[in-house]
Amino acid sequence: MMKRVNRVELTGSLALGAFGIFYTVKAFGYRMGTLSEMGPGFFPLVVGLMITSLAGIILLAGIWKERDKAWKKPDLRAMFWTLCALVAFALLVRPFGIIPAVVVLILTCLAARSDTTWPQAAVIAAGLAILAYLLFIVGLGLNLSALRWGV
Amino acid sequence: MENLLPNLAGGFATAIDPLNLFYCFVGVFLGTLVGVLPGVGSLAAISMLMPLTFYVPPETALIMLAGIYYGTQYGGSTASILLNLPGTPSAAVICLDGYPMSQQGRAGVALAMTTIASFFGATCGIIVLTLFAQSLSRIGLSFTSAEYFSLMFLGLVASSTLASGPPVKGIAMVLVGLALGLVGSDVQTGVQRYTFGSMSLFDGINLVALSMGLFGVSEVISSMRSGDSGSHIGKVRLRSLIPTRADLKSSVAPLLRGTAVGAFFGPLPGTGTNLASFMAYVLEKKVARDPSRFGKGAIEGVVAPESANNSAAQTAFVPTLTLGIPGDAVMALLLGVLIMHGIQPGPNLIEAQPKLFWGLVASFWIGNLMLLILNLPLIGLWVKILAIPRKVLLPAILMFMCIGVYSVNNNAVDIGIMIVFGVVGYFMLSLGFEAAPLILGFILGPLMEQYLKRALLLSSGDPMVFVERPISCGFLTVAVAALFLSAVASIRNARRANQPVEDPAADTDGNRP
Repeated sequence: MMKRVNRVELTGSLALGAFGIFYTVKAFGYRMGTLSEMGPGFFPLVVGLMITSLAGIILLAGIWKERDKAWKKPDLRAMFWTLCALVAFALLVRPFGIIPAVVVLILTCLAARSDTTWPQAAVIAAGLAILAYLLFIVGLGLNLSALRWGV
Repeated sequence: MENLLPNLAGGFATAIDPLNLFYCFVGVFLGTLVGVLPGVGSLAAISMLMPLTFYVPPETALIMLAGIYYGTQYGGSTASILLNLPGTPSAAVICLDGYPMSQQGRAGVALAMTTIASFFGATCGIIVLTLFAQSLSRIGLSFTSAEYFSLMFLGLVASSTLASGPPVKGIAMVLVGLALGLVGSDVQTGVQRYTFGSMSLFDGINLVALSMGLFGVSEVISSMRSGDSGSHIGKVRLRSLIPTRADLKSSVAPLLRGTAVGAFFGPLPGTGTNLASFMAYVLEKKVARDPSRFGKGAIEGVVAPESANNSAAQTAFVPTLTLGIPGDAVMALLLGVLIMHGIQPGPNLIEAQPKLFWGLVASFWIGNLMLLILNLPLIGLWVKILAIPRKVLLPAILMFMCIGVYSVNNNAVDIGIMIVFGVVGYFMLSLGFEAAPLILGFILGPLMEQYLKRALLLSSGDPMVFVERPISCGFLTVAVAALFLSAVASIRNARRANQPVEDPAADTDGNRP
C-alpha cells in the first residue's frame, strides 16, 4: 500500500497552526511588560507560541500516519441544515418572537432527516412551540415575547 | 472536623428549602433522562440548563447542575443493559455483562442491581467528600500563588494526557481553551484583548454559548441523520427487578471494591468516572475465581463498575470545591457557573460560603435518595423514554439550546457565538480533537494568568520561585513526569502501529504518489 499524506491530520494541524500564528501575531499588539510585572501581552504570547509549536508537532507526527480507521467523515448535509435552522432562529427571534422562530427552526432541522414527512414535521413543530411557550414564558416567566411584529 | 455535624445540619436546612428541593429534583430527573438517552451527554445537558441558573441563588444553581451530573451516572447503565448502547461513556463497560444479562431475561435484575450499586457507591463517595473536604481546604489555605499555578498546570497536564485520544491533541485543546479564556478585558489594565471591537466580547466569550456550541450543537449535528433507536425494547416488570439471594450475595464484595476504586480515581484530575468504571471492571476480572464468566452476564461485571463511577462522580467534587481545581470538564463548567455568580472558587469557599458548600453536600444525599426512587419503582418510565424517536428529540434539544442561549442576555449575537463553536466543535470531533480539555483550559486560563503574574510579582521576576517552594516543585515534577511518560508512550505506540505496515526504508523516499 502506498503511503499518502494523512489529510485528516494535515487539516487539523494546519487549522490549529493558523489559529496559533494569528493568536501570536495579535499578542504582539499588547504590552509585554517584564517578568516581575507582566503586561497584558505576555501570557497570550506564550500560549500562542505553544499552540503554534504543538501544531507543528502534530503535523510532523501525523502526516505520514495511516488514516485512523475510526475516522468519521463529517456529514456536511446534516451540518448545513442544522446551521440553517440555528441561523433562522437567530434572525427571527428578535423581530417576530419565540413561536415563529421555533417553528422555522424545527421545520428546517427536520429537513435533514429522510424519515420525516411534512405533516409529521408540522405536528412536531407545533407541539414543541407550545411546549416552549408553556415552559419558558408561562412556567419560568422569562422575559421573552411569544409573538410580535417588528423591531 | 469538629464542626462537622452542625455544618451538615445547616446544609440540610439549606437543601430542604422548597426551591432547592425542587431544583434538586429537576437536576436528578434531567440527569437520569440524559443518562438514559444515548448520544446526549451530561456536558450538553449542563450547558443547556446553565441559562436557567441566572434566575436562582448560586447554591440552588449548583444543586441542580450537580444533580444532572450524578443523575447521569444512574441513567447511563439503562441503555447499556437494554440496548447494548452506552447512555454515557462511563457506562460503556456495563454493556459487557449487562446486555448478556438482559438477553438471558435478567434485565430487571441488572437494572435493579445497577441502581443499588449506584446508590451505595454514591453514598460512600459523599462520606469521603464530607470527611476530607475541610482538611484538604485547610491545606489549600497555605498555598501561595506559586503553588496554585503549579497545581493548575498539573491538573491541565493530567487531564489532557489521560483523556482518551492522543495526548498531543489533548494538550493542544487545553491551550486553545486557555487562549479563548483570555478574550475580553484584561483584569489589571483594562486592555481589550482579542475582542475585535465587539461589545459582546468585552466580558469574554460567553461560557454558555461556548459550551452549548461545543457539546450541544456538535452532538446534534453528529446524530442528526442517524436512525431511530429503541422501538424494539420490551417492558420491564416490577417483579423482574427483584434479585435472587445468590445475586445479592455475590454482589457485596464487588460493590465494596468498586466503590473503593471510584473513591480513589474520583478526586484525581483527568481520570473521572470513565477510568474508574473501567478499572473496577478490570479489577473484578482479576480477582474473580472464574474470569471466563465475564462478558456472559456476570453480575460482578455490572455492580463493580457502576458503584465505581458513582463513587467517583461524588468524590470528583473534592478538588473542585476545596481547592478550586476542576478534575474534568463537567467540574470546570460548575466552577464557571460559580464564577459567573461572582463567587471565587478556592480553599476559602467552605469558610466563605458555608451555605453553598454544605447545602450542596446535603443535597447530594437527598438527590441520591430521589434517584433511588426514580430508578427503582419508576424504571418503566425510563424504558419508555428510550423509545422517543430522534426526530422529536433532536429538534427539541436544538430548541432548548437556542431559547436558553438567547435568554441569557436577550442577545442574538450569543446564538451566533454558539453557532460558530458548534461548527468548530463538529470539525474538531471529526478531526480527532476533543472538546472537553478545551473547557478546562477556558475556565482555568484567566486564573492561571493571575496566579502566574502574582507569583512573579512577589518573587520580583524570579521564575525559580516555582521550583524553590517544595509543594509547587512537587506538583511541577509530577506534571513534567506525566508529560514525559505520555510522550514516550505515544512514540512507542506510533512505532508499533507503523511497523507491520511499512518497512522503515519507505519512510525516507518514494512516499509521495
